[in-house]
Amino acid sequence: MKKNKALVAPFVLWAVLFIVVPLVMVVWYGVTVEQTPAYTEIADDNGQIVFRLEDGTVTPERPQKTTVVSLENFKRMLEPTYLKLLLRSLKIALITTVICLLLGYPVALILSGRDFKRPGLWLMLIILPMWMNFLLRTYSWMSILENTGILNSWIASLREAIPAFDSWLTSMGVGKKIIFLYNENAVILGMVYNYLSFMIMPIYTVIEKTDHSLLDAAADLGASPVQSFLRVTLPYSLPGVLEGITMVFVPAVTTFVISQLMGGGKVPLIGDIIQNQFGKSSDWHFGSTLSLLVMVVVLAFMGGLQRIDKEEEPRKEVRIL
Amino acid sequence: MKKLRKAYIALIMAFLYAPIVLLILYSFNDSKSRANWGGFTLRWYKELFSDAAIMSALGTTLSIGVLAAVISTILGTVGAIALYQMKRAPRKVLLSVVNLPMLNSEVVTGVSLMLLYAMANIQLGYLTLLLSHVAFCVPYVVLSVMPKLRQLDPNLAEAAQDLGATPMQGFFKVILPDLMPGVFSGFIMALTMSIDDFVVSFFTTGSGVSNLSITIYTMAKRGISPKINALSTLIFACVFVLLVGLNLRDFRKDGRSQNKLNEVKIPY
Repeated sequence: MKKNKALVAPFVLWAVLFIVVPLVMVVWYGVTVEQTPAYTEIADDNGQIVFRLEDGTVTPERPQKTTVVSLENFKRMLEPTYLKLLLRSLKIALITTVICLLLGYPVALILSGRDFKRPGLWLMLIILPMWMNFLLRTYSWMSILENTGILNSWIASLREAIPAFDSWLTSMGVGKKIIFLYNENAVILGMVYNYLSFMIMPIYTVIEKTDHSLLDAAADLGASPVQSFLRVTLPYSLPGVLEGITMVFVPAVTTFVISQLMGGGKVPLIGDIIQNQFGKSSDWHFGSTLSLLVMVVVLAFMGGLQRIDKEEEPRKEVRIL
Repeated sequence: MKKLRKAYIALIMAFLYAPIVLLILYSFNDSKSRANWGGFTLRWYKELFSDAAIMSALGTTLSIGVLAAVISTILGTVGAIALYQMKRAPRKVLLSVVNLPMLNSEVVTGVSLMLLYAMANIQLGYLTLLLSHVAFCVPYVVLSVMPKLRQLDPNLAEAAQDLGATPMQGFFKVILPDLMPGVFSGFIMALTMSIDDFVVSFFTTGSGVSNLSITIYTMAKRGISPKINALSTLIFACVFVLLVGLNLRDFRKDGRSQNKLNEVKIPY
């Protein structure tokens, strides 16, 4: 193709304006605070009101808020309240990722099996729920799980029908209404539900592409199905697994909607606090500092994953040879 | 073993579809409360179309979705070609810049764009919403067009020009048709992401402009109107018919399904 530099400039301009500048703004807001210098109102000799600053200077104009560079917000970020929130977000995101991997890997494996009919159709059925607004789907889970919800009414009618079941539950210390919602487990359920397909898709794509004759070769050379899974399929699917982990972990660690709905405000995560700073509390500077923290955590996580990816690669080839 | 596998897939499907089935049921429920069943009704479907707030939110979602998808498809294709023509080192830099929004979480993208508009003194509203949707869609278009460019035979454009085509003709008649599958899947991805987006929209819209996600979020605090359930059921039904239709057609054609949608990367 003929070199056409005319295309480069507008695109670079766009990328700088909408990707680089906004991020620079986050950094700038993150490392600055707004300060109003302390002052007292006094009347001068002519009876005019003037303003005396702490250092003794007197100005006729009311001192304005100024933006100053300060690491104050970084100190505030390290307070136990916020660190605990960050740790909880990381913990919930990690549990969500592990559950998605455990649930999703078998799905990808089964769908890519040679004797599985119409995998495309099933895969499409897995993506399809994403076309229904995720807030609505999460809200729908709430009506399944709430105290007067479907699950509780089913359990109640089961108890009426089977007295043995009722007395067993009572002996286990389970109350008449089981509280499913508004705790960490509910938030995790909401996240697993919303992100499971993000795990299945990339793993499926990778396993699907794996040369099936490798499995035949393994079988010919006497490998059991378990061995050929461990030595061929699993190492080959690793890039898909890593991509799936990223696609689940990143949104999970920063979400603020699922935690509000399923957690009912009782399980605030770091995303909720950021949202709060740009809404109710309206402290954009602290909000930006927290955004920087999230950014660093996510990038560190991804960096770690990439390292695993690179370390795995040479070994993979040795195994095949 | 085969039965076990099928049972497992069925179980996962039940998990994925339970809330959706419930939602569809509620859209036919003749009672405003979620707790009881008041009989079958089509009332919500009728009332839906006279609800100004929901209709305007739907209009916003659709118009932003289509506009953002068209603009980001053009911009992303131009970007992919620009990247393809650059030298190695600057390309690497620009590519990592373009990938940033995908690595970053949505919250950070939303917040950063909001700060940009505040600095530029642009009132939050329809325009900022559109610009933001374009901003997070472009990287996905670039990502899906790039591989097609790499597969391109570099001699094609020259051949076209040797045969008397102008560079413009060469591009539209020879290069673009080869890129089309990537451009198309980028467009679909952009559309999907824009329609489904909540987080970035939340931070970058204002002055009364709200799309469906934001309307639903505001409603969730007071209770969601069954009319929204009716609307989602309609949207879901349309997409379902469209996708299953496409998939079955492909299946008949090739024997084993080779759905184009499998190539579409899942947006997140």
